[in-house]
Amino acid sequence: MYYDYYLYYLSYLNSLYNGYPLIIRLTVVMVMALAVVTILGVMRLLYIGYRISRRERRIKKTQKHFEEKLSFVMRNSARYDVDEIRELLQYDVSKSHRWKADVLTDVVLSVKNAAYRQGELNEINYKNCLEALRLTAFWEKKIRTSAPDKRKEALQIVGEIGGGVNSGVLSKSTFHKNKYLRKTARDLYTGQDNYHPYRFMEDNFDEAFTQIDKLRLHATLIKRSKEGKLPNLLRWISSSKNPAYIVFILREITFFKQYEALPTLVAMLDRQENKDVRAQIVLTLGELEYFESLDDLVARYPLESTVVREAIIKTMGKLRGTQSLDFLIEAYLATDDVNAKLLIARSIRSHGPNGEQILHGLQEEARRTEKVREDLLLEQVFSERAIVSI
Amino acid sequence: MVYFFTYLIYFYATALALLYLTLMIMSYYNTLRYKYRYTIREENYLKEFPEEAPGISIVAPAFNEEVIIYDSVNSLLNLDYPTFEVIIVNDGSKDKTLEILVKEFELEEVPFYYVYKVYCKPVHRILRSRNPAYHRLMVVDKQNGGTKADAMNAGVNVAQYDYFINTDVDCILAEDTLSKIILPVLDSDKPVIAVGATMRMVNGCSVDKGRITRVKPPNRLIPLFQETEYLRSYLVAKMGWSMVNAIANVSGGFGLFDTQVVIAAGGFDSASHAEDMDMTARMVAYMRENNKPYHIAQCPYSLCWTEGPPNIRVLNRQRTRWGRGMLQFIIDHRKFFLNKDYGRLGLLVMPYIVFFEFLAPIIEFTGFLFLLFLLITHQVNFDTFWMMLAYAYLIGLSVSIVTISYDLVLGKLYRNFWEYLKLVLFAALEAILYHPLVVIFTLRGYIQYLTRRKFKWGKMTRQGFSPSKNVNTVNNNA
Repeated sequence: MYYDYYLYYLSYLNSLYNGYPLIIRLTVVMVMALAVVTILGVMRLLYIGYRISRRERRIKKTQKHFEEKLSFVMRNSARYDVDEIRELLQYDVSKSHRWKADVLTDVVLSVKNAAYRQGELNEINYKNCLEALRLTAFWEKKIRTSAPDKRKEALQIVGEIGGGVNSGVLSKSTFHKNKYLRKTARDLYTGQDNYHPYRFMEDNFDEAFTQIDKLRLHATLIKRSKEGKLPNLLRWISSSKNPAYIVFILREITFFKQYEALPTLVAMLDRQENKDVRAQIVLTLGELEYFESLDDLVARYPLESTVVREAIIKTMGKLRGTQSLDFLIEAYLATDDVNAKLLIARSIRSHGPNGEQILHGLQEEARRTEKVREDLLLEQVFSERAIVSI
Repeated sequence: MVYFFTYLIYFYATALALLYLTLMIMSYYNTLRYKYRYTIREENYLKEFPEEAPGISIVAPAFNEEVIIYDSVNSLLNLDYPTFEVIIVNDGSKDKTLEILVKEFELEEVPFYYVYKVYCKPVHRILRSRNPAYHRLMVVDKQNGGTKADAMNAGVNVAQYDYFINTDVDCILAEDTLSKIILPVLDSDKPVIAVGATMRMVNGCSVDKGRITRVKPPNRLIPLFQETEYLRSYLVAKMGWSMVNAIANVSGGFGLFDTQVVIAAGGFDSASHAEDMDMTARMVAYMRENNKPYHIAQCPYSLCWTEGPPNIRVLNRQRTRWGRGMLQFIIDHRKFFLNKDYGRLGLLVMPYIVFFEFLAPIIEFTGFLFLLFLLITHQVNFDTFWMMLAYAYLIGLSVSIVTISYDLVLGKLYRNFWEYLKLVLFAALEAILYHPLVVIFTLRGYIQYLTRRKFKWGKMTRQGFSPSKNVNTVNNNA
């Protein structure tokens, strides 16, 4: 298009700088290149602006047509079948544009979430709405055909919709080389598969296991636990070598209160070489109030690293009793570490009136021996309750 | 000699153009990747499971900030995140800053065992509120240290969480700032020691009770130019460098830092005029010296709005300080330069800072004068003169326009599309009206550093967030 014009101006520039040093001629080329980048940049900016406003218009239009009707169906206690919903929505999937399903998904999800929060969601009608609008099929196709980033987004949307896609569709993504896509697919698989849902959980979930995966899996396990009792989570870490994954499972054992795992955890303390894992085991024992572990923890305290010692101190605050209180007093008097003293004092305080009385005794002793900073430290612990603490 | 300078300037400009082109490509890829990787769904997990969200301490020093302190603290306390604390460090204010804090937030002194993990001037007392509505707030009242670094250290010493935000009380944070800035930390298999995010100008935005209600480009000329300059720095340079884990500086206006690494690296340096760049480099050096893997991430979203210099006088103070800071940084950390023991810091970041940050104003200034000399002495003709100027001009303009389009890709912040075009229009004037000033002020900073021993921290005219409030001139130690 207009090639002759371009050629004309290029020839003009060529003739204008003909005979100039190479450096000047190269500058002309660079200036032309930058001018093209600038013009393309402006055009791109205008195009993005146009696309954004077009999407805004489409969302408005879709909301206007569907929001009220969808809300009526999803909140209605009477059951509507797929054909009735189609008729009510006046929506012909075969004649609709490709962008429609994308925008419609947002509308359906916002209506569903609002109804769910208010306890008015009719699950069957919601599923029928998805069927009538063929949204699951739309996203299933995206999972099969899109680029990794879009596919990951599609997987997340399917998860938000509430699953329902064929596990076979996911299998290609569960072993994809893109770790973000792979992990999202594995999470969705764990959340919706009925045949062997925990196959990835038994295998460290993924080699690139991060904090955000913990959050996703935590949400998935909660969803699973609502459908039925979870298996003993401990079996997923028996062969694991990834400390981050083991710590996560230990936290989940605490969250789902799997008391049956506790005796094995005490035995694991001797075998585990990783200090973060040992610290988490100790915290789990405390959170689940496993008093039988007290002797073992007391014996372990002098030999452990700082992080595990801190965990033992916190756990003693949970396993309230004479033995733990005696241990804490002894530990308090034996240490000069300010941070440890602070933690111990807090654990003593959590023993209730007995603990408070002991702290007062320690404070009096500090005043008598003119240990001003220790007195201040204990004063701080007392004030943490008086002043609202974080 | 003439040929040498001509070639030097040409190759320098070409190297700069190619560098920016590379950064633009890397940052585009990185920005899109970020956009798809971290969505509202990830943020919702943090809100849904608050017990799993890592705690964040927000540390904001305040020195004579009576005009904005109430709105600012209120704004910080109302951030949408499950676990955080707000630590305001009253750095020996001589006005009513502390009085306002005590009265408005019902503060009282509490016993506190203060540990000086990193050096700072003596702390007088710690104040907290009995009112549950303000239970996240802690005020550290200390002797004035004269620098933001000293006040930051006082806050870091009491920060109870693993990560802290380094910010200023004149900054307004977006409501979802904390959940957005923590995501790269949660999603990394390497320890993330710092995360930066895009900062913009608050001048021009509508603000109500410390909250931005309408984002607009600044109305005044200098903040308007600075808005595009900031976007270029964050969305192209930092997003690009973050692809190769080589971010030179996590901004002192807003950045997330690993508390333990900052303490281990010795905290912020009170003697530094560029305490943020200095801290970032020392953290990286600490990780390298201890053979620990690390990552510095950059979040492309606009999370922090700060007051830009409203006039040339304040711009002058800001840029001369930055100039001094840059030169001081290079001299203080010369041992990193081309030192392979410091990895990317030595082989990539330091050469970039020296050649493209520090030398740029010198070469631009001398290059322009030289070109003018050649024109006057008829060693070049007008065609060549204009072509060379157009080259320098288009490097800046093309990067600015591409940057504005990246910003729009992330989401439409301005309500009106014409407001983006306003940025484009003024980006076209930046090289003529604004950039020469920046070059001169930076050079002035270099000269100041080389010729003077003691410097005063500049004054900043606080406009206040609410338009109805009086304008007040206060000393700014930030």
